[in-house]
Amino acid sequence: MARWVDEIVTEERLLHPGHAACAGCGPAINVRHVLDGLAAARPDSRIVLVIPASCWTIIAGVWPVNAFGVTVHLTPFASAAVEAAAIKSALRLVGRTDTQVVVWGGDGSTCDIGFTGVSAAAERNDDVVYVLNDNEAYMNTGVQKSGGTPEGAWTTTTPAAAPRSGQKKEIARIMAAHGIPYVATLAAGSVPMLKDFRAKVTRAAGIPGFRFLHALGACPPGWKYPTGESAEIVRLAVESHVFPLWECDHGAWRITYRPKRPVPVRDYLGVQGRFSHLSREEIDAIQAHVDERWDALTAVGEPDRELPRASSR
Amino acid sequence: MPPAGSLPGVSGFQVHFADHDILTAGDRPDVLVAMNPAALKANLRDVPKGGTVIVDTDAFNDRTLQKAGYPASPLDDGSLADYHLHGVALTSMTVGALKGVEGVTPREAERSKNFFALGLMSWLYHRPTEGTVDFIAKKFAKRPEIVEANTRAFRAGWNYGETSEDFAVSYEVAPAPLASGTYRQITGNTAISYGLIAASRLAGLPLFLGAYPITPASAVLEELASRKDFGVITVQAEDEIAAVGAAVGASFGGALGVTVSAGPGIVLKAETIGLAVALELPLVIVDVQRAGPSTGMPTKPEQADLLMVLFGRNGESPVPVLAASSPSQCFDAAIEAARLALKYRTPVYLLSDAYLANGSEPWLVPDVADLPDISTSFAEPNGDPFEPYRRDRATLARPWAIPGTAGLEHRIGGLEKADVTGAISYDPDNHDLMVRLRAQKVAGIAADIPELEVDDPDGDAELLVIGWGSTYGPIMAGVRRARKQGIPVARAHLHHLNPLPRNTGDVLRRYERVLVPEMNLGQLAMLLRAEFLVDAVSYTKVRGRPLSARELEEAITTMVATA
Repeated sequence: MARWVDEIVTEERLLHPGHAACAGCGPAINVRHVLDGLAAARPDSRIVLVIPASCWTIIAGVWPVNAFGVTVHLTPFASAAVEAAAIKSALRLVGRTDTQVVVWGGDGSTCDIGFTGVSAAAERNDDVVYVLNDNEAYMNTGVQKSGGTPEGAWTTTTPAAAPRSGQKKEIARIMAAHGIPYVATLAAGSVPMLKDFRAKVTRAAGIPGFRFLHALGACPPGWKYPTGESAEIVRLAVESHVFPLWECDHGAWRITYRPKRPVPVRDYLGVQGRFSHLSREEIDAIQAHVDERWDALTAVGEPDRELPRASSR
Repeated sequence: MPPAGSLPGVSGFQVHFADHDILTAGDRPDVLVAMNPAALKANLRDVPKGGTVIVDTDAFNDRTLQKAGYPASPLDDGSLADYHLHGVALTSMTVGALKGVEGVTPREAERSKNFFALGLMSWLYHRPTEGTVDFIAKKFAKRPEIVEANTRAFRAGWNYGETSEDFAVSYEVAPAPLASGTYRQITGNTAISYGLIAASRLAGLPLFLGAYPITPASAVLEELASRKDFGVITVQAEDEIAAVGAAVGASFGGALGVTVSAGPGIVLKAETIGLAVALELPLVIVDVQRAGPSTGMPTKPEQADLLMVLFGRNGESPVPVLAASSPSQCFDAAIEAARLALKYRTPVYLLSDAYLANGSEPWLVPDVADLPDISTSFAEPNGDPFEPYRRDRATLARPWAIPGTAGLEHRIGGLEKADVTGAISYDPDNHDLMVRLRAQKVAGIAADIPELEVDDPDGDAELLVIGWGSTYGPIMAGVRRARKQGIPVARAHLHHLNPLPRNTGDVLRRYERVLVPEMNLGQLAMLLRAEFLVDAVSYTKVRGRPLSARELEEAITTMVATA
């Protein structure tokens, strides 16, 4: 373990220090491990990063600075997946077959406005790594609800008097239902979780076709907690079964991290201001929904048990 | 954010107060307070020569000078000789004043230097202090030690001005003469939100907003989402197309349908707005413009969407267009947009921009009795077959029928419709007629809007300055400056851009020369030249910043000099 940690601490980074993310930005941790993991898995390859409208159009910096060590293509909200697919096709036509094309798209662009494009790219099995950078609301425009916002959360468009009703879209399972080669969830909440995270990135780098990685990233201003807690809150999301870690590799489902002693969801909700208006009954209801989803997921995710599938590639 | 002390990391704010009505945030501050060398370097160019510069001498050292790119300290090398320079040890005096305040770390004490500087400014301009002290108490109510620290720093700054001999003069700014009544601060986005709520009450219809988050328009969605107490229904849709679709659906259902966005969202809505033109249903579309093209500069203002909202749809697709001119005027503009949409059964564009959206000014809260009645009526079954495109003779508007009403069964959509019956028709003459009817209906609105007012106090001006939208303040301020120089200059401002006020051509032809300042590359100027064959001259800047009164004064004097 120690040597592995040394390696990732000392590796060359493709997100340079001095970027303009908020203090404690969880997605900043995730993007670094996605890019560095993809680069480490295929050292001879180059990476082109495709980013739809999001905080990440700004975080790389305003002239004269640029925090990314890779080429970046910024797209409108809805078209990241198809532009990435076309970039990959064009690179193949000009003989650059070794370039990895990676989308880094938020929950708004992935679950909402860009969903048709993501679904269509998956249906075509376009050769792209699509990473969902999930911070559970439109943070760049000031914390509005998205399809990725969890039940009960405050946002500026779901105020505490009328918080988010309904459930967060189960986007990773929806993507798995497309029969794409690889789907996985990622969380950098602890050293074992990070090891799981990096293993999945490495696996994704080695498979052709549409790969979908769902990374949970905590957002201090949007989730309302002290900036030092980002990793801990993501850890609690996993330990409470709110954000299970799993993968679906060519149709084979597997829970990749089973919390030994799951914590109640109130431990996760209680440390975030966006849930502070919830009553005990509302928290109980959320707990019940989390339990239902975990049961449903583990039923399909039992080791050695594969979902019936028609079109796995 | 870029690191503090570096040039890109400089942040700040500007305050403008005066003894007359204020038209802009002020383009050339009389006083600059620079908390470090980088702040001085970034902002000094805005201060006119002879202006006052106050710097925190504690923040000037080799390291901070180097960070800001100063080879030598500007405080010592004579480069600030043209300004009234005051070096004040803001940081150390603040820390000194806060000694003994319990629970405040030295670092927190340093942060109170802003209030020390504010206290000094309050003294310099004889501003009342009670408001600031009350503000501190409320703002930091959860941390009494910070209230104590900031209040002490504020008073220490004021006392420094009073006792120091460094400041030989102080200034008194008299109250401005304004109409009496209840005022409140309001931003353009809040004023649009309130205007839409007021319109829904005045029309007797529920307000239904379909919107999608986008800078700088999101605050309207957020404000209306928190107004369930007024019966407002908001749908935060999954994208821009769905947002406008929701609004059109709500209009079909009998509500006041509204959608709000900025340029990159409006382009996505274009097809559905074309549908609303064909359906001839009321719809208000608010475009809070930002610098483009594409993502552009999301937080910066521009007026470059005018031609898009006028012409950016397929086919002959006329849509009335209004533009708000100040943050508080956004309230009236929203009601006017709803009035026209309901009366003429048409989508109506209301243009705002990032400058109006986030700018604030005092707003005289209106008396509800003074607001217009914009109530409308729905079709009633009368036993005959319902004719959804039988038009009102005066307005050419078609009847609005609540869907599902027995006896009013009808079919509408984007396909061309036969006159009167609304049946789908590919008949050549019918299409020609329908295209012309839709155009006439919108053109006819000119009879229902005020004439263009001209501000030409002595009636002897040869130059007319005409603008639209948020350039209202800078143009008025620039014209006032030119008049102070003795230059006669007339001014007019368009709030209706389609149709234009019926006397627009007469006004333009009355003047020898016409100057059109815009934050685009001359879109209104092109319209005026095309429509009225006048030699209108453009003054254009697209810097993502409002035009300044000073540059407009220069443009006016230059134009007069070359006459």
